[in-house]
Amino acid sequence: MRGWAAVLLLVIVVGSVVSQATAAGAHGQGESDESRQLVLQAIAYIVDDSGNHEAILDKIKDAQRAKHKEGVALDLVAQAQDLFEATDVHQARSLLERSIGARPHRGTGEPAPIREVGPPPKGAEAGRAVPSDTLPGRDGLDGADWAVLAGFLAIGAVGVLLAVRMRSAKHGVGT
Amino acid sequence: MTTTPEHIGTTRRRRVLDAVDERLGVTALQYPVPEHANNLAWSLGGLTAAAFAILVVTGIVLTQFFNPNPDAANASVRHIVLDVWGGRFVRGIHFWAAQAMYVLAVLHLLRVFITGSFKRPREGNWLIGVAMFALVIGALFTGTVIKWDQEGFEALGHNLEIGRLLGGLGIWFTDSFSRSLSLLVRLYVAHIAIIPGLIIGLLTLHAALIRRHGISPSPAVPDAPEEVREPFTRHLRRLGALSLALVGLLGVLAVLFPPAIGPAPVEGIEVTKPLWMFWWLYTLENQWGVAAILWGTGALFAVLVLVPFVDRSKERSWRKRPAALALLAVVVVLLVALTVATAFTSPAAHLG
Repeated sequence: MRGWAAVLLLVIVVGSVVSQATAAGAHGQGESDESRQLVLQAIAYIVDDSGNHEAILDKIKDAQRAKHKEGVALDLVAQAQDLFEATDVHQARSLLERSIGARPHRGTGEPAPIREVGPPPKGAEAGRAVPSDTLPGRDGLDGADWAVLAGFLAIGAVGVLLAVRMRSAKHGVGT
Repeated sequence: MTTTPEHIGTTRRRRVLDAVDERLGVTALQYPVPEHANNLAWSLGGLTAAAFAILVVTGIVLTQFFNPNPDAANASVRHIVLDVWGGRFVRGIHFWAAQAMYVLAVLHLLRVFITGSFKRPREGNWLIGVAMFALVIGALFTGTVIKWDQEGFEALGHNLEIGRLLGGLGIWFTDSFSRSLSLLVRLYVAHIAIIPGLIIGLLTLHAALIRRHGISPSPAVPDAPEEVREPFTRHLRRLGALSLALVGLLGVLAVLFPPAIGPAPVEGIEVTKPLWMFWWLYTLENQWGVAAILWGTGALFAVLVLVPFVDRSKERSWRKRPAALALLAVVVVLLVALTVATAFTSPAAHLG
């Protein structure tokens, strides 16, 4: 019994230490006072959470008001804000990327380190260097989707039914 | 004696089965195994193998349309999703089967640990399982990179950085290993040939050792020699039924939640988070930089490798192994807490 009490205590101690450490790390991120960092965060929202318009707009506005504006073309950020407010997210992201010197990877040579930006594309390469947006997984189900869904639901149900019927006398599905 | 149509049908079927068995030796699979082998917990390894088989089949389909060259990879994934008949669905199954394989492998590892199935004489098979788990993670990582969206691009950046941190040992993971072929293409080869090939090889060895040592005893069955025995083919049949349920689940997930494909890579930014199974490492990276990925992964696998050499008692019941359960609880709490932490943090730049 004392052994299990020690296990419980250990788990509680590890859990609280880790949660406090990670919470401190998260708070340490705070609100940046660097325009470049805020532009990066705005792009991150567009790429990862494009529906979060309020957060994206906040980051774009904060980037223009930040104390340290080095390395950012603020005129492009301002244009990006106008375009974003006009719901042209694609162009807004492109302008935000250009405002910090980022550009589409041309993909012709070896991958460069993340923070290094290659020379501007030339000739035919320029045509390839077009930024694309996230292609969402799905925007609604059509008739064929519903049929496939029904088919696989049936397959799953048959599988579960057979598994239950084939279980051993002493052991159930969950044991 | 009368001969009924049913009797004739049964005789014909018997003859066919006998003819097949004479040539393929199928009845050799009817060796007896303990009854508990049929329960779900003891079927997790087989289900992991089923997920792997689904990945191989859907992967073969995807390779017919995927172009791994960096200037075409992202566009070819979009082509698969938008233009290839059933492409979105097949990619969805592949995506969800990969998640299922990871989850099932973790659950299988947990079951083996909790029931002491790694103990003598099965230490070697535990190590083979750990190696396969590492390969599963490798397959997930390379699969993330080769779709070549922003997430994949940044994952490759981490791959390069870790390759450099490893020095000479990491040369394969850098672009200086082969000047004639893009690193992305080499990771693609790893994803479709090297890693699955190694998994198949180790899986064969894993199964052969299970056959050699027998199904591990269940601590819940106190009198193992008295336990009812059933033919292994019955276990395979039930595994087939469970696999069918898995296929159904993956199909439903693929229809309802097909994976997105991120934007084509943009140089000069680091704005994405990795797949959820790497989030615990992402939290470590946020705290201590890219090298923490190496140290964190190394620490986890060192613990896994050491398990059979540290917990050497004959006791298999988890109730009588508080120290082992304490270790498990600490590792699980650590991993869950670090994973949850990433869910509440914004993507941050670590490279460069």
